[in-house]
Amino acid sequence: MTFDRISWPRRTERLSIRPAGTADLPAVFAVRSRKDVAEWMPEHPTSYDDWLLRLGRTGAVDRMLVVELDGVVIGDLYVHIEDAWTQVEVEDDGKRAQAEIGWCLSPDHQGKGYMTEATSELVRLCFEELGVRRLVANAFADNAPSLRVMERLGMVCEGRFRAESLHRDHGWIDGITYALLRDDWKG
Amino acid sequence: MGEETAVATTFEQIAWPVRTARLTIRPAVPADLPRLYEIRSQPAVTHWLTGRTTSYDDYVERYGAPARMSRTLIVANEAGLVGDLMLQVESPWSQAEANAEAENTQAALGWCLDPAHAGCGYATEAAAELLRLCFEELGLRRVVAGAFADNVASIRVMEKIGMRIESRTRRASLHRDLGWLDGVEAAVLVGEWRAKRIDRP
Repeated sequence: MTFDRISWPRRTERLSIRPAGTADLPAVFAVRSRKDVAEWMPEHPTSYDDWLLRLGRTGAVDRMLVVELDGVVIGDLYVHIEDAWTQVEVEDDGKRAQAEIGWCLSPDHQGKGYMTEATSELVRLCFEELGVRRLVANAFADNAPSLRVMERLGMVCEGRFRAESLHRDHGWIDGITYALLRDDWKG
Repeated sequence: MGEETAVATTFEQIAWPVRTARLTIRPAVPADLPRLYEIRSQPAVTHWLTGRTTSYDDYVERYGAPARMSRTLIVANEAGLVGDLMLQVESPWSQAEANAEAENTQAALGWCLDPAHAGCGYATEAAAELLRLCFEELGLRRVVAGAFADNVASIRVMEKIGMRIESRTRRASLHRDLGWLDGVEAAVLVGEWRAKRIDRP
């Protein structure tokens, strides 16, 4: 639904981006089920069938884009359009006004700027095609590679939440939030 | 229904009323609604509140609902009701494998005091006690509160009771009269609260 109004695929210098289809899911799972990838991700899927069921149940597949390099899926992007917080009387003006974005790249392809290239296009899509006024990205504060992507996108750190998020191995650790306003975006 | 029961259980863990030096705190009941409306319909109060109600019936429909009442506490002094508090137990973000452990370990607080009683420290006295209830009686590990960044009175209360401002979200919240404004969130962990407390028995 979110992606219907956009013509796909989007091409960047080296990559192609499009909504995830059923045929892409084994490749996405192959990345997401790696232990090194799951370290900072919301979950560590170990069973493909269980993961598919959860994706369907939560609607996550409708918010997933895949990133292709020479026809091979090397990662995925996440866009969740949300209503902004508003006082009750103006809630219509806050509908679908902001989006949370996220990303996941295969470690086999890291260090070449692919995520910055893909997420730059994602930011452009959110502001120019989806009409969003504010973008948010959240991460564990220790997820340095992800924070670097946020900073390269021009996102600004708006907060650090002490011992706020529970990690399956590291216990309660800090979370961090970044945001970018359309008015500040230098697309 | 499930949510209602869970919230009711939160208040059932505490022996009411709870008393501070000058105030009494207890769960709200329907008989409190007329006085609450009197406070919450004043323009100076609704300016920063989530909803502005235009009639008593409208107010009762929105705030008299059981789910809402069951997270509302009344603050009273010798003369009567002077405001209300909100206590909402919630689950902080966690990785899927740790969801069960994170569940219901945090609370979000709010407060609304009658401007007729502003400036005498009632909000701070009530909110400080609310924080103690969260940590000592409910066994929570983290407490948060949010406000428009321009709501200086509320932010001052957060800081006085030992909360730290953790985030300022730029033009993230839409105000009915002022447009897109910054929001702030404050938090305190149980360990920080214990370490700072000077009135420990």
